[in-house]
Amino acid sequence: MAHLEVRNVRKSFGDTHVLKGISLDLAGGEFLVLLGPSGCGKSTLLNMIAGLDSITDGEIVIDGRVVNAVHPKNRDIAMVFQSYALYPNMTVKKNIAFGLEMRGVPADERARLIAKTSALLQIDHLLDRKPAQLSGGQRQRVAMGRALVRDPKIFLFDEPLSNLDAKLRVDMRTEIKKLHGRLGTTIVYVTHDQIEAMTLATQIAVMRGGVIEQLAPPQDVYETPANMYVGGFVGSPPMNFVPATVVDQGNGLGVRFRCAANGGDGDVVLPLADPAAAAQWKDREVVFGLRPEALTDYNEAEASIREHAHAFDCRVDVLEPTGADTLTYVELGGSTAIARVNPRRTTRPGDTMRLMADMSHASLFDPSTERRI
Amino acid sequence: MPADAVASARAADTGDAGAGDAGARGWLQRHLSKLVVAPSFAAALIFFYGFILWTVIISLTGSRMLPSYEIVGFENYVNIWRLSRWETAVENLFLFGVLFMGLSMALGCLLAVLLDQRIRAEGALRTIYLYPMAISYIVTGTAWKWLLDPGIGLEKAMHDLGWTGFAFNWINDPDMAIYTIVLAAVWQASGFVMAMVLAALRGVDDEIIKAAWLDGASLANIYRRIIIPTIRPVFLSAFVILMHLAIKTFDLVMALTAAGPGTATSVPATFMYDMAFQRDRLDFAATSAVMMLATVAAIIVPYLYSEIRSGKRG
Repeated sequence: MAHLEVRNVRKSFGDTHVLKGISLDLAGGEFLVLLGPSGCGKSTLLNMIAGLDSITDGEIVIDGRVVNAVHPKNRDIAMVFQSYALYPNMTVKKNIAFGLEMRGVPADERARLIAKTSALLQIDHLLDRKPAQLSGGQRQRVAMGRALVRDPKIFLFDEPLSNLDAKLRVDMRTEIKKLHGRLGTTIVYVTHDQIEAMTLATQIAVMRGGVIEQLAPPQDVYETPANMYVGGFVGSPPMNFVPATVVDQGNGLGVRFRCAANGGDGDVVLPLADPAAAAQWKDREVVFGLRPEALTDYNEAEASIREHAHAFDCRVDVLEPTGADTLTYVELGGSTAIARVNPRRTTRPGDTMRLMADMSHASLFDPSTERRI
Repeated sequence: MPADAVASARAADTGDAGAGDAGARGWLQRHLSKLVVAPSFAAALIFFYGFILWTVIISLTGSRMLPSYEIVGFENYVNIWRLSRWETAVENLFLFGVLFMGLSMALGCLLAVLLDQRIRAEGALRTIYLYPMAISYIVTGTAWKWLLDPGIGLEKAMHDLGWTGFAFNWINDPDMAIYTIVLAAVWQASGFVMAMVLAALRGVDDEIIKAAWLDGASLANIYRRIIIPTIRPVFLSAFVILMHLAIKTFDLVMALTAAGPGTATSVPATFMYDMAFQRDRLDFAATSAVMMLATVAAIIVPYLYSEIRSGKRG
């Protein structure tokens, strides 16, 4: 249960700035996911926390101690690598024991810890095999065992599931989550998979181009993205962005955008749930962001319960059934938006359909800075 | 017979009417691949295995300048050990082999590890170290003969520079001349070992080494416990290649010392040449050849066997 602090950390290779001042503060027992596309610097940051990469500027602090100059082995951290990085010449048992052996743990203590860890990860039957004789999922477990056995202060995971097939990835995700629940160790986990990030994290840091765009719990990142990039990166399908204008609308403010329906082209005005926040944007262009599940088929019963649900008609362009929902593509304000529609209430492409927008989940963004209003 | 095979192969290839009726063409098509391989197969059979057999037979006869086929049994294999020349050759081979393999491996590994530190101009350095391997042993031998010759080489250069007390005349010293051969051979082969080991080192996953750092292993422990065991097959390959190079060494010795001074640097291969073409003792030449072949086979056969077996398993 270690407290990890990253203070304004930078990393540059000559004129290339990989990390441009990263700061984060992680309480003990948190599960931080660094989420971002390849090349955003997330793995570099992880390697710097591990001590495998030098720090150009800034400080990394573990439990109050600045570890910039501390050798990786003395930081009391363990890391699980993307390629698993098992020692190919050693059996599973020796792989797990190697770190203990290097730290001078006596043999009987080693045996006890190996037995405990392998039972926890259900790899006891594999202990005498070489890594080459294991499947991807088994290697993943051994790699985790090697990290777990030392009982480190912080676990680092570098895209650990990206080499597994889809089904196994879901299983291992659940196991990592369970493991974190049981051990309560501080974890920093790097991934480009936003579903992994949402399911595992207690804190997500969405990164792009060497900066953290947003650092928040997963639900906050999902519901109130700090900018359009985060809204578009997290969520599948991503958030809909509709170019719109804030207009006065009787008893409050609303967003107005164009929408084709019933053979014609008209304006739709949806009242904002929180007009006060958008007060200074009156009569100005904004980007109106709405999650696909907040844009659904009209349902009278539901519309009457939800205070901020508003209906409007819109022409349907494309239907994509996914089973649970049918993704319905419509054109709002000149850009494509996706609605999650009950498969029993869909219509044919080209027809007009009555949609319902839940404005309590709406976000507004500044079109020039792309930041949340 | 090879000409025949080529002609019929061509006929089958073009579907020529000259190939005869459908039955003959069908037969050709079924056996074409065998016919094409046949000439080289026959050549290998006769010129490799045929002459190996012939050499074995000669080693069992009392041949002198010309082969005779009067079998004397294993007498030659006993008598050859009475020749001090053969004894010198075997001793030299042993000394040379151990030093050559040991030093080439040690130096090659050292160079590879140093080059593996992501240094600048690595490509150029790698080429420089590997380059001696591209030179024939005759050239190596001649160049080193000049370098080591006290009258024109290193010793003279030092004297000219003013260090008149400098002496380096191993090449003329019967006790030390064999070490000059080791020197030249190591110079030639260590770059090759370096290239093999470097390639293997590069094949070790970076993340494995990072994992070992985090596991608390020192650099020495990382090499000893992880990297070297991981690349062990390469050491075996390098060892086998160096070993058979050592046993077959002939041209280097001929160019550098001509087995001299006297017979001080003779090795089994020069012994064989000498017996066959200078001393008119074809029987001893064949005997020494068979003994060298047996030694090489004793190393290569188990190696090939293990390689093929692991190939099947993998």
